[in-house]
Amino acid sequence: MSRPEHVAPPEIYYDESESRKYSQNSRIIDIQSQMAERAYELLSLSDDKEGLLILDIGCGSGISGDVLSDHGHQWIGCDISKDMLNVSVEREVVGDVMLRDMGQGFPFRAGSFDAAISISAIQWLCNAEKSHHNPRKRLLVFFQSLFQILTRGGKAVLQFYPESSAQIEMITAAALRCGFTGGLLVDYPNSSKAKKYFLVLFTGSTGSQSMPKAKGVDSNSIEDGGQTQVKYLVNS
Amino acid sequence: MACTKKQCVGRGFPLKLEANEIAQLSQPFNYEFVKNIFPKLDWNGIQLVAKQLNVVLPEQGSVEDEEFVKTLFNLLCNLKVINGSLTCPSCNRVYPIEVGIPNMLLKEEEIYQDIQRMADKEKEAQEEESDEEEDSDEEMEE
Repeated sequence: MSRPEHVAPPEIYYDESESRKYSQNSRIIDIQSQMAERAYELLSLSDDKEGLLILDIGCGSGISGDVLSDHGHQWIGCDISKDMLNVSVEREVVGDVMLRDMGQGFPFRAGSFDAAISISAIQWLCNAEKSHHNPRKRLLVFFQSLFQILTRGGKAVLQFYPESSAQIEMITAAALRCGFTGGLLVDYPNSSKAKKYFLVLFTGSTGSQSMPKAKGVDSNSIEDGGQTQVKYLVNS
Repeated sequence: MACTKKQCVGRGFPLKLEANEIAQLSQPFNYEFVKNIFPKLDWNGIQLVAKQLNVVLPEQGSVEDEEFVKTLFNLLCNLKVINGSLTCPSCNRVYPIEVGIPNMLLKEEEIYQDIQRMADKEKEAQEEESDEEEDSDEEMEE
């Protein structure tokens, strides 16, 4: 299957029919909510914390937002596809959604959000969809703005589908440059199907925050292959 | 949620809300959320929005006051602007709200305008600085 990023820009790719498919295909819904559930888990918010304000980046039809609502939090979502957001309105999601290109930053006051999640969205930033797009610059604007709108001690868990290790490098380097600490976590690194990348970011220092553990990691294989599944960002 | 925290990036806050159609939602009251969000709110912005939506808010409030907390929750979470607009107080750019979705997309030339404007400002600031330096030079001569 070809990658949607190669087919068309997100606001074109996720048109009415594609958006509808997203909201009706139970397999897609399952995968999306599972990943959102996992992303929420990775935020490792303590159970007694309720009623936080969470940003959902690339919220689409609001499947991931439903997970946040189920945990008793308020959320605001943004997406570049009008058709996707229309589906979210039809689905009567609890959160608020708005049309916005994440590569242009976020129109919120500093320190507004307690946390942020993103499911299968930020790899789009690596593409230059328009002649005036510069992926590196858009990534920087994105992470800078994200850093600003999170509270100090805030966290962001961004699940994405990297196309290459160069993309991973490009994304993590941009996050680091904007002041984030944290790292890349890979669930089920040995399965081509279940393998999932999560960028886990903190606005504070790593000293007080610890990285969560990856799932489906066979400890023997780590020793054999000499690979780590959780990579920390190192400030050079 | 009322759009009080939306900001026209680097170009002014708060956005002025214009509401043509409002929906009353019925989310269950969440005290923890109000308690959590209250210190982060821009009170001036909230007052303006409340006025636009005909919600009566006291000048000062406390999270201990049950009635106040409930009014605030209703304003933040259960009043949704279906049709209206958000206007930047600084550049008068209008962001339309349709079917409850604010359109905050910037056009290509607006992104550049932003950068251009920042560049202009820096230039101005530098010129002012150099002007001041000249002034002080003159003073010293006197």
